[in-house]
Amino acid sequence: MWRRYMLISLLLFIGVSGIALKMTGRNNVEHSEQREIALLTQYMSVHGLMPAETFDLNNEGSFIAHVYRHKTCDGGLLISPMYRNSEAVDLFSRQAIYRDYKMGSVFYSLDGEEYEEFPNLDLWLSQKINAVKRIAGLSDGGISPVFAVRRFGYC
Amino acid sequence: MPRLKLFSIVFALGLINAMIRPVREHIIEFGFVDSLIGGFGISFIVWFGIYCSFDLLRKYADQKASRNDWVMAFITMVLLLIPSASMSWIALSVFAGYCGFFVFQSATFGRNSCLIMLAIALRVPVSDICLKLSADALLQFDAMATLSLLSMVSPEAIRQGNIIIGAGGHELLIMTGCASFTNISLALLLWFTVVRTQILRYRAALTFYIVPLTIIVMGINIIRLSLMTLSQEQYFFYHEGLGAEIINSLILLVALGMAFLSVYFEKRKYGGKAYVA
Repeated sequence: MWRRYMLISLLLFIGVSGIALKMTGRNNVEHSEQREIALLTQYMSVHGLMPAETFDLNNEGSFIAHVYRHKTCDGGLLISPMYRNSEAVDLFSRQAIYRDYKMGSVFYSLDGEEYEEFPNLDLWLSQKINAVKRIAGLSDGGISPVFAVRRFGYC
Repeated sequence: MPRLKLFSIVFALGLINAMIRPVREHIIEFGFVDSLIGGFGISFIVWFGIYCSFDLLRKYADQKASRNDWVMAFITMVLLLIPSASMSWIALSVFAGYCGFFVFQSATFGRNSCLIMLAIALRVPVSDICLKLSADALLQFDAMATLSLLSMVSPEAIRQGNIIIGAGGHELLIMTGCASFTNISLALLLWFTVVRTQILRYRAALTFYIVPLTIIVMGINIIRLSLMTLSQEQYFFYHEGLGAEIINSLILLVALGMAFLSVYFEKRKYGGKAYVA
């Protein structure tokens, strides 16, 4: 009888511990957005690009474009992080806010790799690998997004 | 220990582990009462499925849990320790699959209960993978279908990928939350739940009801998207207002109607043999 109660108690203890672990976890997306933008700004500043402005790509504000301008010439990069999938690709690609500028083609960047097309599979794999690393304590990073990038101007 | 209790405990803990984070975030965002009214941000179809699964399990003629049952329960619990909702859904689906296919005989309440739980648990990771890997194709298809319908009333409308631009310049971005795929997966879950609670022995012919259900639900969603493209007012009405409630209820009724039709014709065909209700 005692063995049965012990098994049940252990089962409940593990199950409830799992719930507690999930309750204490922070919002990964929110945390990642701030972290990734901070890292991006840091990286850009090393390459002579300074954050100029941000604007919403849609009315809900779920997709944001970050504008980085060159210090020395008239141009820069338009960058938008995409965390979920490729749903905002067309929204980003058709941006024509800088009508007076020459616009480059859109490319995508994930974990330092460049892609011509949105890397659906690589994003999914990267997020799963990061999640495993985070669980194993090998990384304190959040969710890595795909950065949609477009050059504008005359640099 | 009785099997019924063990399975109920594992299912309950698995579900809480899988849903606690989105439920908590929903409560924080909307407050407890509003969140409760909204099903804690989880579709009422999922809650209904959970209720049906536990209700069917309750009808199972109980036996003592075997050693394998305990081993699987502990493996599931250990997997639930991983702080990932997707992993919890997968762990729950593995356990539900084990119970459904290896513990219970076919045409029993127990098997149907576990298969409903398996469908609930698998829907989230499978939808996630499909929407992650093929969002372009799914959204472009919705956009093309919406434009085809919209062209009949508003020929000036154009499409840019998954963006529809109406005649008045109003633009609609079709995102994965509004995709037909999401509605279809919920409608299919409701259909499956109702059929499995009413029919013990599943017949291949039942699968044919999925086709008209999918087409009708997709059609309703396309009509909704087309109406949302007409103007800003229409967008708010069909996206978050009364129109959205009407459309969601319509999808629910279609799924329920198709499920009851499936059950009715199957019962008539086979003379009520091996049926629950």
